[in-house]
Amino acid sequence: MLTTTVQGRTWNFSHAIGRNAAAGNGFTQPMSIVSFKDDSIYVLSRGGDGAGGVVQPNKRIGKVTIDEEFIGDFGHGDFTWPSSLAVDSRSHVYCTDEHTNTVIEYDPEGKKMGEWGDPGNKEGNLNMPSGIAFDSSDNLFVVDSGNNRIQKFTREGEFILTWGEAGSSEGQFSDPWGITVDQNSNVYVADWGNNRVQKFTPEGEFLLSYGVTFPEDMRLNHPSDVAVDSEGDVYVVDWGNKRVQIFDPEGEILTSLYGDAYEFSQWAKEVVESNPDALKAYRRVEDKSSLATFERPTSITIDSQDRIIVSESTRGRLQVYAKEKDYLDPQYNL
Amino acid sequence: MVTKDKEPVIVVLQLSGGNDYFNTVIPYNDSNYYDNRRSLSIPEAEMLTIDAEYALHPSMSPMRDIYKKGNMAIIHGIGYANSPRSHFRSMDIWHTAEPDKVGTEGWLGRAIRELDPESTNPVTAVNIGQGLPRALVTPGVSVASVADLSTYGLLTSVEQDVVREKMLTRFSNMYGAALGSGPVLDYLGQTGIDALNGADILKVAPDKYESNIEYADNSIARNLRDVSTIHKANLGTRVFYTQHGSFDTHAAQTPTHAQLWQEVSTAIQDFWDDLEETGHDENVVMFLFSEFGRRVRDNGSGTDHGAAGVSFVIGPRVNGGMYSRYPETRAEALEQGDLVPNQDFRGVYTTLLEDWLEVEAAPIVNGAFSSEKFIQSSN
Amino acid sequence: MTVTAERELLAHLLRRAGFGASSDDLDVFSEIGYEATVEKLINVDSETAVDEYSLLRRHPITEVPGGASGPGQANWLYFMLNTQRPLQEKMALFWHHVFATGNAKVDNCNHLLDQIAMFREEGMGNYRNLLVNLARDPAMIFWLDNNENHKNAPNENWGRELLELFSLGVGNYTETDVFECSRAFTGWTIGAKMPRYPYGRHPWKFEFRAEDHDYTEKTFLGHTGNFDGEDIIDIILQQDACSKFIARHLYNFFVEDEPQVPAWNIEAPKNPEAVNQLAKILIDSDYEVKPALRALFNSSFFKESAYKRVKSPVEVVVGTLRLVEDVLGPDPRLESTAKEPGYMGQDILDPPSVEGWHTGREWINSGALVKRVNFVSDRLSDTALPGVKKIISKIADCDGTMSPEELVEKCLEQMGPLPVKDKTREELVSHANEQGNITWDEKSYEQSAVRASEMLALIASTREYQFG
Repeated sequence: MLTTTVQGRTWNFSHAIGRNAAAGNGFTQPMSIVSFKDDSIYVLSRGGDGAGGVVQPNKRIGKVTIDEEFIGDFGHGDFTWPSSLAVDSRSHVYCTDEHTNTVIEYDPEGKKMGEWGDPGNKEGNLNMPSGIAFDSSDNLFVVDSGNNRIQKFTREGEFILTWGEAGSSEGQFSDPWGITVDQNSNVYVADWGNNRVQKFTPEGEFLLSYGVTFPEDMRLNHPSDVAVDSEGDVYVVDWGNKRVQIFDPEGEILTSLYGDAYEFSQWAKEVVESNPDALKAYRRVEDKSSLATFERPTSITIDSQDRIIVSESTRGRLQVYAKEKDYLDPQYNL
Repeated sequence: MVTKDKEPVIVVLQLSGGNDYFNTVIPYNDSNYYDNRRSLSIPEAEMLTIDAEYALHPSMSPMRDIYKKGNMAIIHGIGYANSPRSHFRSMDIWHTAEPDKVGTEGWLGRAIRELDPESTNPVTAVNIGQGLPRALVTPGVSVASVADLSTYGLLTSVEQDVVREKMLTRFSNMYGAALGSGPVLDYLGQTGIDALNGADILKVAPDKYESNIEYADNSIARNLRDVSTIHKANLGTRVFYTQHGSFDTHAAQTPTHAQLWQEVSTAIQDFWDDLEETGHDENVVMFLFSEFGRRVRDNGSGTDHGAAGVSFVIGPRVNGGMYSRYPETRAEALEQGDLVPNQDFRGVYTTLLEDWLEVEAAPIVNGAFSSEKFIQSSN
Repeated sequence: MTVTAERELLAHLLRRAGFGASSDDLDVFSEIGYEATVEKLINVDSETAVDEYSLLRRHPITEVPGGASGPGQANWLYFMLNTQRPLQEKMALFWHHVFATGNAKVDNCNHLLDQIAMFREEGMGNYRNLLVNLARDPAMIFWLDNNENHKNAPNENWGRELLELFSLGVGNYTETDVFECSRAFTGWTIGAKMPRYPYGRHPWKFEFRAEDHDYTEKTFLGHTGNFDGEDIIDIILQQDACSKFIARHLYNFFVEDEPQVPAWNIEAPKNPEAVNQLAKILIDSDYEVKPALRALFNSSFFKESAYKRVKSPVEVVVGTLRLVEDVLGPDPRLESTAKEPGYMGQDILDPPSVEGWHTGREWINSGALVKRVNFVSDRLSDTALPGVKKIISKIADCDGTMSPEELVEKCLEQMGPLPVKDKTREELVSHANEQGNITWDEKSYEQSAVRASEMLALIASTREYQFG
């Protein structure tokens, strides 16, 4: 469905960005995306580990515009298992590495400014740091997935506070992944192994769980990321079910997005046009749904215009949706 | 061990991933080149002109020099019919010389069986790299595979040399003993001794090696230096194999392809200078191939899998020049957007086998194929 | 049976039906005994499955690996290294040997993984079911050209290999049977697939095209009728040769090295009685695999077969890593480690041909032997690895000082227990003797640990250790 409509809200599929490519204008297993004020998006390509012992050029941070202009990439050789991106108010980019247990900082041009993080399970130590998100005061929340807790740091890496432990009760975690901070400074965590999203106050008081009380086909399966739009609707990347679940601010489910990229992105089009046999092959296929649907969605970001952007690791692609506010149902007797 | 100085030696250099023929040997007067390579065409001022029609990639100046010296054959349009455009299938076809079915014996493995039928020399063939390419795999043929010559051997993780030497002596005693319980144990015993001998033989090569050439610090340079080291030690090695890549330039081709050819052509120059310096070049021929060429039209930042490619044969005994012809580049002449091969790779193998290694080619390449004679006759 | 003998037997069982066992594992299985251990191995549901999600989260490249076999090999290696159901993976490996399908042609490693997943799910179920699934498996269809098998132009590749390598063996059918069999599978094909450009691999799907299926009468192995593929499989299963062929494969994989498969119609099985016994069980159970496995592991011919097979490269790599506890769980070295069996001659998901790998002594050549010996000895001599630490603490468990002979005995015990020939033992003891007695007090523990680890490495290099 190119247009998804419920209760006064509509999401229109806009376009796709990117293609599967190990360098340049494409992505390799994108794991994290973050939008950025001037219509730009940073895309983290996780890539493969290859033969080992050599820098894998497919692991990188790419910078693109929402209109699919390739600005450049950086970070080659800086990380082993890059996991998540966040941008602070100075437009510096931060990237976690869940193997080296570090947070790496870049300036807006991609110059490496430094890194911090010590392995371990003591206060302030990191064990497989995964999702990260800044609050409005430039404090960084880090999902410390191996320690099953959330830690809050200054952007320089000074420890502020922590909450959480292993388990499945409220406030406990099982290998958590993505994280976001909403306009009211509340914190949402994709509690991956517990098949839910938990919402907390900025101090870590438990508020709400998403996704646990629904009928089975609507439940979350290993959610990887979460984002909140300007109206407070909550978007959860339902990684295991390959969809995005949308909830209202009270935690009621609204609808799901499954991916709609029947059209090629600009970069993808160039590839198809240079391969006449590929064009023919596409024409031979009747059911093209596997082209359009999310193939292992990993992360989500929402820009200042409430455009919703989802990354898919298997396709090396981003899908962009636009939310229409105050939408009136059309006349159905067409 | 029998070693002869001047037996012909072949060095095969595999360009893995599918080298872009169109940007390697450029038909620079051809408007189809510029029309199809909107993002990737190389400016005429930068390309290295070798005659009135063709130029080499700007990174290949060492190879242009070799060409100008008359020591390099460029074999155009090499490949085979109905390219599957799959790296793995295509590489398999090049390795086994079997385009129509899944082959089980490598072409060089078969050649080695002819060169050393009794497997008397454990280093008749040496692969520099990890594992064994299928070209060298043939039942009953033993090939030494050396990831790094400086650390090659058994029980290499034992840190103290004294302890390791003692352990290797134990190994030798254990494997040399007749355990008298069956053919598999006996066979293992012999194989263990062979492995130890092979390592011992190769171990002497770095000590004997002398050279004034400073190779670059990249994998193909290191690999070719290892080839030179073993070759100069006169251990009776007839077939060397190594590879470099990845030439699979779907994206960001311009910088990647340039760097690859810079590394390969510089390493080749250093290798030949190294051999020439000590007079070890006369009995060596080097053969470069890739599993396929790439799409004629670029995809915006790279090129996808194609069909016809280019091979190079280098050495003082090579008749330098151009062989076969550049496939037609106009749209109607392409197959699925690809250059159509006009020189069967098995013909080139045939020339290498018969005119250089002097073994009968037909049983190795599975039939009668031919190419123009790019090897000087031996008399 | 003595405690030692029972322990040796359990270690043998776990090497063959799994990927080996540590000394601690053997303690646990000794508690429940041999037969209960066999049941535990066979009833895979008693243990949890591998957490595939953790693999896919940390190694996203292994989910749809596309053309390169590396990430696909990493995916399967992860299962083999981390499974609590070792026989399930061993059976997947068994069927991969028998129904060998290679990425060098298929070039869609994700579909090979689908095939392996099918072996994992069905490999201990019913053989008929496996054959039907295999005939519909996209990787197999492409591998053996059944997509080129048309009503008006039959392609015999799949039909022939189904009879020759997957069910009956040479000599048990005629050329006419091959042709008729192939006709019955016309129209069993794969649907049009979207290309890999520009978004990576899309799935192939099995498709039956009625318009391309030959509905005319066929005569196959003495039966005449309007057969389709499933009817052909049913007729195959009625052949005496079929149960014997699969039984011999089981014997070859789990008990003792047989000659290579193409020689099977010339050379008799090493133990015809055992093969007949397994074949009868297969028939009596309508080709259920589990009863045959149960009988095999409980048989005296199995129990007497310790160290009669040359270990396959996969057994060397997986067995060693599980023992020393390295590269378990998600690990940046997983992909590079998955290449190791290939360096020793067994590129998983990419066998050299449909005949599969040549096994037994053909695993060994001088290059492969160097790789095998170094792979194992490199790891056993790394005293920082958790599994090696455990082994050394078991060896060190004594009154404080041990003789060189004792050191050798204890190391052999931890490495198997591995029986060695007198000459081998003599060399090991001589080596241990060079530095005299070994002391395990606090002061010399570290140094003694290095000596013990060198002894483990030396044992790993022996001829005896190449068998399993």
